[in-house]
Amino acid sequence: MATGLKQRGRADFNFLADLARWSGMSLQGAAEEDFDRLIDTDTLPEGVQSQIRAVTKVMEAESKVYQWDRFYTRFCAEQQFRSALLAYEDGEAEILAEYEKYADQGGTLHLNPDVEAPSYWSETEFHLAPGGWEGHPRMGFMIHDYVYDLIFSTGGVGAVRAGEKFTDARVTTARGGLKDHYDDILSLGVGTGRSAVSIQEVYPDARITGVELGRTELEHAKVVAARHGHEWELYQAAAENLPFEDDSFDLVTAFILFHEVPVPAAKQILAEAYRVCRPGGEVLIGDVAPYKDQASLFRCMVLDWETEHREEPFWRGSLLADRPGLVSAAGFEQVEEFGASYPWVTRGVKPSR
Amino acid sequence: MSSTDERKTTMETPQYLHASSTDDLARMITGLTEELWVLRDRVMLLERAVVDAGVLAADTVDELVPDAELGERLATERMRLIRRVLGAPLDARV
Repeated sequence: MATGLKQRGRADFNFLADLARWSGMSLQGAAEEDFDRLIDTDTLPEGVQSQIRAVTKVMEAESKVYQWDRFYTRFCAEQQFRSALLAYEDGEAEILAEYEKYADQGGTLHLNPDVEAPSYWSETEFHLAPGGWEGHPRMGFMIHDYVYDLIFSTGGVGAVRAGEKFTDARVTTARGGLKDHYDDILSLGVGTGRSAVSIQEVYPDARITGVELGRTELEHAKVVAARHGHEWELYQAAAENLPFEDDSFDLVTAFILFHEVPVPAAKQILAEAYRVCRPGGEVLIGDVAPYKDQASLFRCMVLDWETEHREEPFWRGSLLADRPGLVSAAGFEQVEEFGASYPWVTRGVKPSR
Repeated sequence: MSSTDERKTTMETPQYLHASSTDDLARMITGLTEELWVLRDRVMLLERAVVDAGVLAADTVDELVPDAELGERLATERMRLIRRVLGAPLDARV
């Protein structure tokens, strides 16, 4: 059982997880049948963005089951943090005791209270988290141990289909590196350390450094490292302005970071990734596949809904962007992309001098 | 759904259902909340009664982790509830 979790929280999260999974499977399945019946692909406008707009209008007006699927998806998104807050209140003493227990384990936190957070981060309540990623002194705990572990774990949320697992996507991305071993790996947007756990699983001997803007996420990432017996260097910094020397890492990774930032910021982040990457080193990006690489227009429509309805303001821009082009423009070579709807992996190599 | 219904899709006020159903939905939710409270009141009284009778310790239910068998039964019942109540619109499809 998760730290501090009582009957109320367990039952509440079980309900939300099952609702998301059921809606994602049964209702979306029925909605896709409606889509095939209602949409005449021969009459759609040119361009995927225009097509998504056109089919969304038809489905929102004509498909009752699509309306309910969207309603339940939104409901789960709204409730998950409210439920997490209640569960946190019930278990706070045990949660704080675990933080205390691991105070001297899990590596080193380099907090910077003066960090300059970009407005797209500080002014967005990502995923409808009240107050954003720093909306609660232990938001990192709630995101990781409750929302991700207990609600997202069975899929049916965002890009993760019902029945799929977020963890699998992280391991798949980590395995996308060209080499079997790396000495120094940088995880951009390390969050609460979920992707770092997968990276460490694939490359057990690597030294991992994580960068993240959120203090509460970094503090929880250290607890997560301690739980797994890892030691990470965790820095509070913007990925656009990294506190590291040139040529410091032989692998720079970013998992589901790029759909959370506007394209101009993505360019800055990639420029920094290039600077701190050693010659011959790699950049490895795992994210949601662009619309052009999704399996169907129905899937594009469902994914595109996230932009306006689950506080993902940069989602659409990211899924329309030329990700390999951005990686190439930063200076990386041998740029390749591969994968499935999620994760979609983009990899580049910094040329040797 | 009437084709004349206005549908908002802005981030602040997304709307998925008929505006004309709002009063009915509010009645349903208020009535459900009322019944939920009656049930919660009864569960709290029951817990107090079994603790006072020395059958359970005060935090037994809060700390009880369902074993695999009970977890499976709970999952089955939970999915039945979801399908029956929240799946009602899907069952009504023509």
